[in-house]
Parts: sequence; structure tokens; C-alpha cells
Amino acid sequence: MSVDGKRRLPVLQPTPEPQAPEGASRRAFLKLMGAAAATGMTSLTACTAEQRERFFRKHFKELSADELKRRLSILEAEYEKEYGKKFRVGAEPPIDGVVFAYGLDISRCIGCRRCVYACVDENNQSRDPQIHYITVLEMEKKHGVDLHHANEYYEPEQVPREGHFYFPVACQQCDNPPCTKVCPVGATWKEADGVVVIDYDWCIGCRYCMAACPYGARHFNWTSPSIPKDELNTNTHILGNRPRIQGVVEKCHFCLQRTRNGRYPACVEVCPVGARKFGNLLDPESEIRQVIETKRIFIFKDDLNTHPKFFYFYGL
Amino acid sequence: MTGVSPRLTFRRAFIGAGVLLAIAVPLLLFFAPKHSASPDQRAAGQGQAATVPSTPPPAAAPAPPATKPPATKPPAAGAAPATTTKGADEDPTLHDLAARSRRRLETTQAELHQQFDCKPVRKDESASADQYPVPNPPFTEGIFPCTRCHDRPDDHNETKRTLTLQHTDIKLVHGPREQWCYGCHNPTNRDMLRLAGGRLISFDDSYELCGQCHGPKLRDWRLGIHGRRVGCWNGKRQYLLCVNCHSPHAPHFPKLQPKPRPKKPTEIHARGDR
Amino acid sequence: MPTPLKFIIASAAAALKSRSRLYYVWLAFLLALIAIGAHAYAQQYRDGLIRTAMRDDVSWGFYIGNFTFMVGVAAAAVVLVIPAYVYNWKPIKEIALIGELLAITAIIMCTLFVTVDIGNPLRIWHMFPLVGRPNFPVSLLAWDVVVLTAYLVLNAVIATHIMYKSYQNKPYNRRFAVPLILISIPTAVGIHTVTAFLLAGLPSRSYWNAAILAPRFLTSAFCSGPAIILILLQILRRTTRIKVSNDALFKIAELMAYAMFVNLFLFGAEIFRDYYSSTREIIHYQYLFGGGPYGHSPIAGYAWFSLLASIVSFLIFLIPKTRKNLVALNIGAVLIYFGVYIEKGVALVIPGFTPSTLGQIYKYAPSSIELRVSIGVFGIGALLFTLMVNVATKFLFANPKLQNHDGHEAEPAAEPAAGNAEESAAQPA
Repeated sequence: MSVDGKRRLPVLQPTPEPQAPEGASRRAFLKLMGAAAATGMTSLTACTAEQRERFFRKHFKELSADELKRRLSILEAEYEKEYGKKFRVGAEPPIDGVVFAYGLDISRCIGCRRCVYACVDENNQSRDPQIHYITVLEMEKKHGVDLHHANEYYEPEQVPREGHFYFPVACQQCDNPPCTKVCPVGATWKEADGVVVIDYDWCIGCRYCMAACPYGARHFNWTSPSIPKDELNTNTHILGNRPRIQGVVEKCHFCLQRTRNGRYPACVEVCPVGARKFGNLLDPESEIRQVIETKRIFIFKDDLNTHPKFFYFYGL
Repeated sequence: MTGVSPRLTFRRAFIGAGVLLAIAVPLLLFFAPKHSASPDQRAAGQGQAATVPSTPPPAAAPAPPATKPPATKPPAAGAAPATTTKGADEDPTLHDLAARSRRRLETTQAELHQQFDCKPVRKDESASADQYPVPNPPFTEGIFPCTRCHDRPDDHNETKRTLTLQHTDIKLVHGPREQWCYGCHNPTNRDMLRLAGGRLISFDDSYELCGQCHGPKLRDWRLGIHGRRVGCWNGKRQYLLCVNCHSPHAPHFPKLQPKPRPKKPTEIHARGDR
Repeated sequence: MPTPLKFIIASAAAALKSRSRLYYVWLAFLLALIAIGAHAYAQQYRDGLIRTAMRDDVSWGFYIGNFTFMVGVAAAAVVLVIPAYVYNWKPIKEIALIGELLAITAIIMCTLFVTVDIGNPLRIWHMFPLVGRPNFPVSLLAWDVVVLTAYLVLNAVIATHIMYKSYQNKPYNRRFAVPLILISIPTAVGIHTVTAFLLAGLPSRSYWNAAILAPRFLTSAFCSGPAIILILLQILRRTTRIKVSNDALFKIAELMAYAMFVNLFLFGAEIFRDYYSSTREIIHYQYLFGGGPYGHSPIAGYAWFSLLASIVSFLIFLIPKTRKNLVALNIGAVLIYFGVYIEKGVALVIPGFTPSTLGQIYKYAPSSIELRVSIGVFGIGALLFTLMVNVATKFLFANPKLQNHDGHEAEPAAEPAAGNAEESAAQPA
């Protein structure tokens, strides 16, 4: 117990001159280093070329035109392999002179949720676990637009329910988006046509953008998404509805695969009561500009200064 | 099944198949879709009760909600939207107005994915003669042209009454109580509609008739901000007739059955554990 | 063999050596915790974060709560560093290194908590400069990476330098170390301010979107980190030759009392503003403390306990009589630790998300996997800290001359009280 005659505590024996233990520890140390290096090398070489390519993928904005083409064909090959169907992954750029805007007539919405499911079909959202881009809130007429009296999970036999009205919410494609500011890797940004997009190959899944979004518009792939093969939409856009993977955030992107080719988004076309309007904010003759001109629009949570391009109005 | 002779097995199979057929065939016959009667049959049957197989009397209540549950199958959780053909009333299983109105509102998958060539349109291109390209009016099959039955222009009884011979399935719930069929229909030529000033228009331009009372809606419709939008935001605008969505006789939209509610966070689990 | 390599090997050897079997039992226990955590993380990595209880409505939970708390603990090294090096107060100067080691451990735990929370961990390199594409300076998370790394490097350099010099039996080089130590003070304030800004900068979350969040973070950090140090120093005092004067302990407790006072005051200011103005924001406080329109709140019990624990421990540390009573002091330290743990964890993150931005309530409670992974991370932290402190006791504190840092003759080593040796059953928190 004692080294120099004094009583020592049994737990730790301090050594006045620390001595490097010769031989044994050094050998053990070098062995450990060797093993670590070998594991590292093995894991690198054990990856297939595809896995390496996927790991080292560049950010979308850094791709040259050729690299983008190559990326699109790699993705198409990947999807064909996984789903057994021929996919088209496009990368249509924003159209010059176009900024998309959306109008929603809450005097007409009856809360039927056909928009929710049309969007799910069009945009290859996971069915299990379920992801919906559009959230329809049932609100009470006597409270007006009041989130404290809003219910997302209404399921009456028929809609609209007496004394209630309906308020669908999806990504508002803000002009001052709080979500793009906070992304630590710049995986989400606002495009020239106003749509806020996500690069699914760059997102690390930290979900900071989900905390930042005031509209609950962003959704996370908590596990790998699953879509029945016969319900896949093979007409896709790389920043839009191409199938996603586990661990990335996704949200409404105004159906880029449709709108950048001149078509209405799926939710606009399916709405049975014509509550949804869409168009080019910069064109004075567009439908959305007519709505802004002739109806009274309001902005959801406008005190947050997000400047959405989603305009609610009362048409009736 | 050792020890059973092949003949016995075959006999058992034969009997089993027979029993199955005996059950299946009556079921199939019972539930098979029926075809509507031809116009000739109907013309021949003039003066008698309508032989249109959608015979059971319509819902008595004029205003929605319908007293009967909707005839469309409730969609399964997370399934695609109900796929019924919009606008055409040839499905004889739907008897009541509300159900027919409801079907006008549904969209098919095919419609959502139909192709449009959305090329930007210059202003002078859109101001063509066919300024409002609308689809055909959604007539009940066989009902048009009206003059096939109404071939005598002088024979028109304009007294307001309840019809008992034909068109008994139409309940007019539209406009003031004084309104009757000839407020819109033309008594001397049933193939045309009659505007308030007396001008006759074709059924293809029925929006002009609607717009007489619903002026602001017509204005909005022309601008493209009333009603469903299908097709291109960036090309030639597709128009729908008012009657493609609103039944002209009972235009108020019926209530719909909502699609399933979203899963609550507590209901979302890993696929492994259920 | 060059001396640095000798030092590394000697440190490794020193870390793993102990005369007490209890030490190895402790290490084995920590390794078991780490194994539990690793197994749980493997499940989570394979199936995705769906194995946690986080969902879209509450997209951050237990992991980020722990992260926020550990950043506070890391920042709390400042409570030792300021009296030691700015005021040159000897009793604390002798033990300041323990604070720095705790800071290193805490930062590593923070990094681990963020890593286990990330949906695509293999893509973490996207955040690093040069190889990745960090959204600096706009994103606060990118800032967090920078300041946390800077703080870790600073503390690692300082601690390694001091230990290396003591391994060579020399006092550390003041001209090298002291500037770095002084820089670590604003850096410590920086890491916790950035973490607070991370939350406070979100307009969508009215529970966090307040200027007062950053000061509250700092004050609660200065209470919680030193609580660990208080308990730990008492353990080390009994199990090693490290001299820790009671004055040091009482001074730390006194500083914690002041920090807790400001913490309670700022909390009171927040409560006044929300409840008196009675705007929509109080709905989050109603979820926290109960009494809102959404019925029973599962976290109300924790929130009230945390508040009471903070007040009681504040009083214990404030009143000199209770502060100078070691039993009361330790009770206060434990209370304050758990009080702040809940305040920075459960009571901070969850009400921020509940109700959601669309007014819906999801009553989040961490899942088994989240708890097990967190236990694993705490195990890693405790293991690292144990090993580093073991090395420090052998290299630095073995030599009283070095422990004093100023080359003066040390006071004679106090004879350990009989029977104290066996009372070292309590382990570092």
C-alpha cells in the first residue's frame, strides 16, 4: 500500500515521476492504430461505386449542365432498379418572367380533402408512414380563422359541417422564408419563380427548417418512404416529386413537374368546388392577379412578415 | 389423401364446382349493371310511366343533404380519389339528384393525368371566335335532341304544374318559387334555351343564360377565377360550362363525404411494429 | 521515441490504471451503458428516427433538449475560469483544470447528441467548411458548428498543454496558456449565446422567440455546470490526493447562487410578460405548467418540480449557513442539477412545439430508444471524463507544486481521515 512509507489511499496511487511503460503499451497502441486504419480502408473499398457516388454527390447548385444530366440519368436508373418502372426525372428551370402565386377561397372550401389525396398521388408521397403536404383545418365560424379552435382530424360523415368552415394550409412559398435561412447546409432555397425547393441529395435531416416553418408545411421522412408500385407517378422533377429517401425533409413545391410545363398543380385541378386558383403573379392578366384585384385577400400569419405567395380570400 | 380413388376425387370436385356456380350465377345476374332503355322504347312508351330503369321515385326533400347515403363507395384509407365519370348520368344505380350532383364534382385519375400542350398564348390568339371553349353539355344519355320527342312546336302547356308523364325525376330547386321550366327552356323549340329578352341560345352557350341572374359569377368565370380550373395556367384557358359542375335544376352543391382524416402522430409507427 | 508520443502512451496507461477495483467496476458499468446506447442507436440508424417519439408536430425532442443542457454545462467552465485566472483566486485556481476537462467532455457529448438526432448522419460532412457547403453566416446551426469547435479546440489545447507540461514535471507556460484561457471565457459565453439564438431566432415559435432567451440560457448554464463540479470535487477530494479547499467549494456555490437569482428573475420576467399581457403565447406556458384548454399536460409535474428545485437550491446556496454545510450543499447541488436539466431539456424544447404551428397538440414523451441512446451518450461522456480526470490526478495533482500553478511551496498534504477511503462509493454525476 505504501511506496514511500506514508499512508496512501487505495484508489489512486500518484506517481511522482510518471514512467512510460516500455514495450507492452506501445505495442498495444500501435496494434490499435493499425486495426483502425485497416477498418477504415476496408469500409471504403467495400462500398460499391454507386454508394461512393451517392456519398460524394455535390450540391444541386454546384452541378454543371453535364453533371446535372448525368445526375438525372443516374436517378432514373436508380428508380428503375428500385421500382421496376421507367421514370422521367426532369430538371425544368424556372420560366423567365414567372413568379407563381396561389389563391384559396375559404368561402368555398368544403373540407373534402380531395386536394390532399390528389397531391399524395401526384407527388409520390409515402403512404406508410403517411405524409400529407396539405393540412385542412376545420375551424368554427363563430371564431373565424383561429388556430386555437382548429381541428386537423375532423371526420364527420359529410362536409361541410354546420357552423364550420375549412382552411387548407400547405407551403406558402414565402418570399422571406424563415426556413431557408436556418438550413445549416443550404439544402433548401428559393428559386427564381418563387418556389422554395429542397435538394434531397444534400439535406442532412437536422429538421431545423421544420422548427422554423410557421405553417407546419414541412414534413420529414422518419423512416424509408413506402409507395405502392402501381400508384407511383413516374413523371417527376429532381427538386420536386421524385421519390425521396429516409431522413430528408419534403414539402409542397407547387407541382414543379406540372407548373414549370405550364400546367396547374394537381390540387387546383381536383378541387370540386373551384376554391383554388393559381397563376403567374407577374402577369396582370393572370387569374391570381384578377383575384387579388377583385377579391379581398389576406395573408396567414402576416405578422411574421414571411410574405407568402399564398393568398386566402373570400370569394362569396 | 391416400386411399381415395381418383374417381371419387373427381366427383367431389364436380359437385363442388356445381355448388359454386349455383351460388355465383344468381349473384352475378342480380348485381349485373342494367342498360338504359333506347329512345325508341321511350317514344313508344309515351303516355305511360317512364321506363327508364332509374324508376324509384327521387328524394322527396328538395334541398340537400340527401336522405339516402351516397351511392359511391367510401374510399379506403389513403386510397386514390373516387373514380366515377363526371357529369354523365348513365349510371342507373344513382337515383337521386344529390347523388348525381355529387358525381359532377368528382374527378377521375385519368382527368388529372390527361395531357395538355401548355404553350404560352399571345393575347390576340386567345381572342378567337371560340373564346370560351367549353365541353359538350352533360346531358343524360339519350335526352338530346329534345325535339325527337317534342316535335310539335305548338304543343306546349305553360301552366305551372308537377309533371307526371316524363321528367318526373327532375325537382326544380333553383331560384324564386315562381320559377318554372319555361323560365329557361324554350317552349316552342326545346333544343334551345330562352334568355329573358326572348333571344334563343344553344345549350352550348348556357353560361349566358346563367349569367343573366348570376352576373358577377359570369364575370368571374370569364376571367377564369370562378370555378374549377383544369389544364394550363400558361396556355389556352380551358373552360367548363356552369352545368358541368352545377346541376341546372338543383345547383346547390350537395355535401360530400370527406376523404379520410390524416393519421395522428400517435398513429404513425415504424413498419416493423404494429 | 519523441516525447509527445511518450506522453500519449503514458496518458493512455495512466487513464486505465487504478489501484481500486471500484474504478474498474465503474468503467465496466460505463461500458455497459455505452453498449446499451450503441445497440439502441444501431436500431435507430437502420429504421430511421421513426423509432423515436418525434413526429412532424414535435420534430425536436429529447436529443436536442440534452444537447442544449450539455452546451450549458460546457459554458459553465467559465464559473471556475473567471475566479481562477481573472481574479487569481488560489483555491479555485488549483482546480480550474477540472472545469476545462468537464467542458471538453460536455462539448463532445453535445456533438454526439446532435449526431444521433440527424436523419442522415453520413451527410454530416455537408456542414463542414471546405469540404461541405455550410450556410454560414446566415444559419445559426452553422455558427454553432464553428463556435463549438473553437471552444473544444481551445479547451483541448489548454488542457493538453497543462497536462503535457506536468508530465514533464514543469509548470505550464503562462504566456501561452493564459491568453487562451482568457479567450475561452467569451467563447464560452459565445457557445451558449449561439445556441440560444438558434431557438430565439425562429419567429414561428413564440415560446422561444424572445430576446430574454439568451440571458436565461447563460444564467441557467452557470448554475448547472458547476453543480456537477461541486459534487465531483468532493469525490475526488476523498479518493485522490487532489487538494480541494472548502473555500473553493463555497465560493463556487456562492457564484451559483447569484447565477440562479438572475435565472429566477429572468424567468419571472418572462412569466409576467406572458401572463399579464395574456396574448396567445401563454398557451405554451399553459402546456408547460398546466391549466390550458388542452387538458392534462404530461410535463406539468416535471415543470413544477424544476421550478421548486431551483428556488430551494437558490435559498440553500444563498444562506451562508446552509451553503457551508456540506450535506445541504450537496442536496442543493443535486436539486439544481435536475432543476436546470428539466428547465433546459423538457421544459424548453417541448412547449416550443406544443401546440404546433397549426394549433394541434401532440403529447410527446421520449421513446425507449431515445432514452437508451441518451444513456449511451452520457456513458461516453462519463467515461471520457473519468479517464481524463484520472490522467490529471496522476500528472498534475500528484505534484502539489504544479497544482498551485505558481511555483510556491504547497501546503502540507492533509492526512486523509480514517475510513473516508471506503466512502468513495458515490460516483461522478
